[in-house]
Amino acid sequence: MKRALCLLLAFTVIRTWGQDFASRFMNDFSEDTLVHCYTISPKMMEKLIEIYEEKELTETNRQHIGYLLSKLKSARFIIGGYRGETYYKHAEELIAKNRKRFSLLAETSHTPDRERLLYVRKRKEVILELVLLSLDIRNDVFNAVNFTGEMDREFIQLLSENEKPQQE
Amino acid sequence: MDYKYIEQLLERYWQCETNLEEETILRSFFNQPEIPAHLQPYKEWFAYKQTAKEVRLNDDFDAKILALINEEPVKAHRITLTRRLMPLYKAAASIAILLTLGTAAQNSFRHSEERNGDYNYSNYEDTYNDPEAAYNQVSEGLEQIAACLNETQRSDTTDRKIVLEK
Repeated sequence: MKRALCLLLAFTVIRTWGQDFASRFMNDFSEDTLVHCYTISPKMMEKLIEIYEEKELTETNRQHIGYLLSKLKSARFIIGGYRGETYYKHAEELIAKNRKRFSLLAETSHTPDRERLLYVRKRKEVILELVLLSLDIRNDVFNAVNFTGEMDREFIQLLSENEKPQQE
Repeated sequence: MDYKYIEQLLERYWQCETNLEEETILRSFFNQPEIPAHLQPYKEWFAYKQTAKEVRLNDDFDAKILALINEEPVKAHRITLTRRLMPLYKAAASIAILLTLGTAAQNSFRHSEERNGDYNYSNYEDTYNDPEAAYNQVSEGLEQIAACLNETQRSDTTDRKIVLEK
């Protein structure tokens, strides 16, 4: 009996350990066919670093994108349609539940057509996880961007300066 | 042969009316080798009484008992303080081992966390097989984050903020 309980406890700890925001969110909507999660694993991320060099980009953008990609380990994208607001609220609650884990980095609420919340999970000065929650109010579509890696201040600054990578 | 007398004696024996002499007669009778069939069942009874009488203690019985009585009593062992505290030492040792193992596991866990940012990537299944499609998706994600950051920076209102130093 004791052994069984210990095994159960260990299994639960292992299962919960190492989950990013997207995994936790998708656990709550595993039965919902309106929510989709797209995953880019660390292996695929390594391939991206290889292929971006073949892109026709300005030298500055090449450097910037190379830097940004090198800081990422994985990416996950959640899209939920028709009940966007419900998903958005649930995502906010999930973040609130993990208040110690995530802190708010930026927010663009109260705009007529879109709400965005950007959360980060930091260890010292390094951002380990970046979560963007976005609600398209008009179309009631929720989407979340979830990056993991070792992102620093420079990463955030580069993103703030370059809204869209320019192609030549 | 007429066994009427014996039968009468037996009858009185079971009624507990016989005297010692009559009981001796009965015992002598049942000690004979030939006893009529209808009296055979009682033979065992009287024969047992006879043999039981003959049971005697061995000659060395007294000596054995005396030897046992005179045996030296078991001396109480003096338990030293160290021995008395042994269970406590054992418990302390167990706790120390557990703590050491726990600390070692925690350290190993922390190192692994530092390496991987504590994410378990083993259960990540790629949605895209084509790196190009994955690249576009990541670019789009980065653009969304950039848009959020820029929108926040452009705004002057207090409820739209960017907290880079947080």
